[in-house]
Parts: sequence; C-alpha cells; structure tokens
Amino acid sequence: MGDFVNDLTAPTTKGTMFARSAVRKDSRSSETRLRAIAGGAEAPRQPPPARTPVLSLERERELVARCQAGERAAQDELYRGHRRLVAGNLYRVLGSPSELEDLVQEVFVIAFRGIARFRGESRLTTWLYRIAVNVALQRLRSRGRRREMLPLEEQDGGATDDTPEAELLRRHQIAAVYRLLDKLSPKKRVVLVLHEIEGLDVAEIAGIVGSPQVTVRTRLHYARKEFYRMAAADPELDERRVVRAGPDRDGGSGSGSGEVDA
Amino acid sequence: MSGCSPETLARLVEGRLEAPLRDATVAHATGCARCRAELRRLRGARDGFEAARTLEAPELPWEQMGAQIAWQLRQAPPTRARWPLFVLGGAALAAAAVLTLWLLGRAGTGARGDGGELAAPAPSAMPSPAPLVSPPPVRPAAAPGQAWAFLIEAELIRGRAGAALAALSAEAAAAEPLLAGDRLRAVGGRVGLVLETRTALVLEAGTEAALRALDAETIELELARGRVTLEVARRSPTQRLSVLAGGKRVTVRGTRFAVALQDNGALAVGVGHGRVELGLADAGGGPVLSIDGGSVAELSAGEDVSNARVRALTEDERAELEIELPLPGTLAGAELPGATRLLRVGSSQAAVLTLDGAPVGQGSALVRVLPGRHLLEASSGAHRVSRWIDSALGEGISVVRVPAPGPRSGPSAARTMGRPLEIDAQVRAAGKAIKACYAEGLSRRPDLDGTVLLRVDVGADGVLAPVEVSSSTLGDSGVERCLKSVVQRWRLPPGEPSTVIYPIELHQN
Repeated sequence: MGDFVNDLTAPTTKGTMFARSAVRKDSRSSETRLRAIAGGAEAPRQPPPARTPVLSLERERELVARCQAGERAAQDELYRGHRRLVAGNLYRVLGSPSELEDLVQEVFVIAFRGIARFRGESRLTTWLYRIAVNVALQRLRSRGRRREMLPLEEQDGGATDDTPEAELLRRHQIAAVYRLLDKLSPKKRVVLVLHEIEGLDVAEIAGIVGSPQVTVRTRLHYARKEFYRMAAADPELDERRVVRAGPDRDGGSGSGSGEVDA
Repeated sequence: MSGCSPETLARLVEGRLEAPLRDATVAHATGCARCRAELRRLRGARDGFEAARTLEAPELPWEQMGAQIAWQLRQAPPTRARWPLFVLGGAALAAAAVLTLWLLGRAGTGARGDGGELAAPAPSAMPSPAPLVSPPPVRPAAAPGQAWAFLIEAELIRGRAGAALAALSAEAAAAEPLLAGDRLRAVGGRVGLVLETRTALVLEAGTEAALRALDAETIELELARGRVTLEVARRSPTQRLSVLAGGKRVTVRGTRFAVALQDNGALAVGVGHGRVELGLADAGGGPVLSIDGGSVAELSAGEDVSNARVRALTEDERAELEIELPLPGTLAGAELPGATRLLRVGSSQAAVLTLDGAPVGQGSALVRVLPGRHLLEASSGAHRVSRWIDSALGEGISVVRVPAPGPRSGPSAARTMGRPLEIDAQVRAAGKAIKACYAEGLSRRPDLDGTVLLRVDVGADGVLAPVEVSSSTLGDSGVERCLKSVVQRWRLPPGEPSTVIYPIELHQN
C-alpha cells in the first residue's frame, strides 16, 4: 500500500489487478471479412471471442474458496477479473448497450449469492458465462417483441484500421444481423448467437442453456433456417447496397427499395 | 431450384457444402441473378456475425457497478433491487455541478419516528440559523427533525435501504433531512454535509456510503468505497460516531479524521486531531487499535487490526484532512476558479459574513477567495465590523478572525457572541505569557518571526481539547509547544462548543 495521501487521492480505477485484455480485442482488417467466397471456398473465420479462463485453475480455486468464505476482497478480485468478459458476452448476445450496466451487476450478484454452490465442475469463466447467458435470456424474454437497435455510431467493435467504407459496411452488417436476430425467439436467438458469434459448439451450448444436446441441435437448425431465410431476403445485408446507399438508420429491413442486382 | 434455397446458399457461403452440390449450386447461381443477390446478402450476414465477434462492451462505470454489487449483496436476497439510476451521462454530471448551501430551518421539537431515525435535537441545540446564502434555494417546509445543513458542490445521489437510489438535484437532496438508511453517493465532485451537531462530513467524488444510524446517540456511516473526511463536533458528550469500512469500525468523538477504503479493500484511517478507535465492525470483539491525532493507520484487505501499520501524518496528509466546506461562488458574481484561497472565518452565529459585499455565510465559515484585496464584514443587526484582508496565491489556507459585532458585556451577550471573542480576551490576558514564549525562542534564534495558527476546540463545558498548531510559518517547535501550553490552560465559560483557529503573530517590533 502506498502512502496515505496517494491512497486517498488516487483515482479509484487504479490498481486494477487484471489487464484490460480480459476480453480480446481483435482488430483484424475487414479485408478478410470482405473476401469473396466464390466457389464456396471457406474464408478465414474471425476467431470467436476469447473465453479463456482469466486465472490459472489453481488460482481460480483459491479465489472461489475465498469468495465462498465471504471475503470481500476476493469478490472484488473476481469481479475485476471477469467484468469485461461478462459485459462483452451480454453485449454480443443482446446487441445493445442499453441496460448493460444493470445486467452485468445482476450477473455478479447472482454469481456471488450462488458461489457457495459452485463446486468447480466447470471453469469459473464457463460458470459466469452460463449465468450471463441466462440473464440475457431473461432480458430478451422481458424485452418481448420490442426492437432495440444497435446504435451504430456508438458500438465499439475494434477494427479501427478499417477504411471508412469498410467500417461503414461492417457496422451496417452488424446492425442488420442484430435486427434479424431481434425477430427470432429468445431461445433460438441465444443458441444462434452462441454458435455463430461466440463460437461455441452444440455441447458447450447445451451446458450453458441447460438443455439436451439434441434439443440444442434442433433449435440451432431451425434458428439458422429462419435466420438465413430472413437474411437472404434482406437487402440491408447486400454489401453493394450498403456501400452505395450508406447506412439506413431507419432500419427498413426488407423494404426492397435498395435492391441491387448483379 | 433446390440448390438456391437460402439454407443451401448459406452452407455454400460457410464452405460447408459438399462438392457435387456445391458445384451445382455455383453453376446455378452463375446464371441466376436472384441467387447471386441472396448470396451477397448471406455473405453480408456471415460477415455481420464475424464482425459481431469483435464487439466489445462499451466502457462502463466499473467501479460504481462494483460498489453497487456490494450493496446489493448486503440486501436481503429476495429483494431484486436494481440500480438503474446509476447510468449517468456526462451531460447529467455537468448539469450536476450545482453549488448550494443553506441550513435547513431547525425545528426544535418533534422526534421523527423511532429507533434509527432522526431524533429531536438535544435541548442545548444551537440557535436557530437563518438561510446563509443569497439567493437561497427553494426552502423546504419546516418538518420535525430537519436540522441538517447540506453543502453540495456535486450531485448527491440518495436512496433509502431497499429502494433504488435516486439522483437528486441539490435542491431536492437538501429538501429532505438525512435519515438512517439513507445511501449517499457523490457524483461529479465532493459533497459536504453538516449535521446539526456541527459534525461535518465530506464525501469525495465517487464515494458511496450508507447512513446506518442517525439519532441523538449514534451516527453510524458505512463506507462502501471512496473517502470520507469527518470533523466531529464535541457538541454532545453522549453521541457516538462510527464509520464502518472494510469490515472495520472506526469510533470517534470530537475529532477530525478520514477513512479511505480502496477498491482493493485496503483501509487507511488518518486522524488529524483527537483520537479514534479502530476495531472490528461487529462491536464487542477483536482487538481495538487506538489511533491518536497526527497518525495514520493502514490495513490491507482483511488484515487484522493488530497488524495495522501506524505512522505519523505528513504535513500534506494533514492538509488532506482539512475539512473544506466550500461556499457558493458569489464573489463578484463569478465562478471561483481553482486557484483561489481559503479563508476560515469565525464570528458569532448571529453574524452574517460578507466578502466584498456578497454574503458568504454565517458564523464560522471557510471561504474561497480570489487573490487580491477583499473587504470582509460581519454584521448582526445594526452592528457591523469589517477588515481588509489580503489574499495571494500560494499561501494555502489563511485564517481570518472576525470579531463578532454587538454588545461586549452581559451574560446574554456572552452566549451569543461565540468563542472567538472569548478567546480573543484570553489571548489579551495571556499576552505576557505569549511574549515570554517568543522571548525564549528569540534567545535561541534572533531572527525568529512568523505566525502560528492554533487550533482550539472548545467543548460546551468550556474545556479545551488538546490545542494543536494548525499551521505555522515560525518554524520553531519550541515556541509552538510553549504557545500551545499557554493556550491549553485557558478555561472558557460554558457555551457553544466550537472550533477556533487563532492566529498569533510574532514579530520583533
């Protein structure tokens, strides 16, 4: 501990035990994303968001034990180490920053209240992930049919080295994807997001949502089918239209007004 | 054609289509404009998914959220308390930079509620104060037990236990008395609260605390994060003030101290003067560490009290412990810039203080002033005294003593005049002893010259707390010690407990 004055006056954000890189920020050029896929050759995929454990297994066990003993400093450490991970997951599932603050808090409150029941059968990150997904699912259910657009100008998805056009396209595509996701049922949406964005396989998703693998596989199949049918009919996703017309802040998905044929 | 269904095209886009079907689909799409358009859209969707992988949550107020989580964990589990109002935009913070000060009218009767809530003021309550500052904000209707002064230079967020916190404007926040169960958070700056007992507390920006108890017997503040500095009046010999932080309890009476709880759980308790006791939050067990004035005790998270590291406060740390109660920037109608000077002004409670014609407070006040020459006045009814003060940058805190106006004799006058005059009389009476102290110093250091500011805390019974040197330009601890011992012997008439900073200027001429 430093001297008294420094301790008293230092910004409270100092001394963060974990680096900000708890959630990886990949800023690969969008060139890879914009590559043509003629002939069906698979383009390099963007790696899924980092879900690697923040702590070593040993350290994680020790931290959990301290939390289970009610040690506040340990709770603080756990929160600091995983808050960005949880917030990132919630953000990607919901596609909207609204209420993110509340939801992150809710995840950690649930986690700390239930940590006595955490037996280390999964990694801490997976356990938090599970809570976060369930909190997001509840949020989606309560959101109902209400649309919440991803504010393009605010969302921070890295890739700052993109050209303005590429960045515009990228933001537009993200927004269009979330607009379509908003039309799926919460259950379908969650499995699709976990699979397509979070990069989880069926077994992992089943563990998180607490359903049998076969159920998840079926749900994922129908989610994909529904989503891609909508996507194929959505001119908002057409890169030609996007680059020419610019982002349509009003949404207008499916209007067909901007359809550009080859 | 089946090869052009969205599912098939999606699988093509994902590279998951097997060779025969893939070739057929590509061949078909080459001649099918609709398929090509759908392919582009599906590519867009796939790219959208991939781009979404890079989405990071926006920057959130992590520290505040952490504190809120801690709060919620202390609530009963079934209560799904949310804290939606903690999302405060920059505009809200800017708008919150309101400077307001006044004393709420003190109602002399009527206890509020039962245990834990605000009780009726003690019979020896100070004279009912009038609004201090012009123009006063909307004044709330007098309510029993409203006896608190608010001093707000930021937004104060308050909420009752079990209820969501509400961001209050300065006016709204001050319109309600503090109650046990209140949670407080200073947003965008510091918030100072002056309790009716004249105990003052300042929440630094971002500090969050809960008022667990507040009555005539007990003030109990639980610090969730940040720093709170307190100057505890010696008004009530029975009132106990505690600050809970990091599982520890700091118990005090008649002192000035700060408790800082770091986000990592580390605790620091600095004591300006007086004495505090540091023990476990759950009273009645564990070791208790007594921390004397001029010391600071430091503890890591979860560390036992007996392992606390105690050391002397540095001069800077002492300055940190100064309670500053900033008054509104009424000087010449201008906002006060940062490079201002603080003046502590003491006068009788009845006297209204003005600086350059603008009201700055009543009774004792700490005033920020711009560098330059200012006319400071204290007036009470038809009586008025004034003096010129010179303020320069870089002088730190300067003290101006304003003799209270009014009749200078008679028992009733003595009660309303306040301590400064009484101390003034004592200083005059002790002139010989003070000169002797100085003479002794001159014998050792012929160039000795300067001003010693003594801090004198006088209790209701007229007994002085240990006198301290608030600051000194003399640089001679022997003379300072001598002066303290002279002042320490004083006995003042019973009356209003107060703190007076008294300057003693020592010059050879």
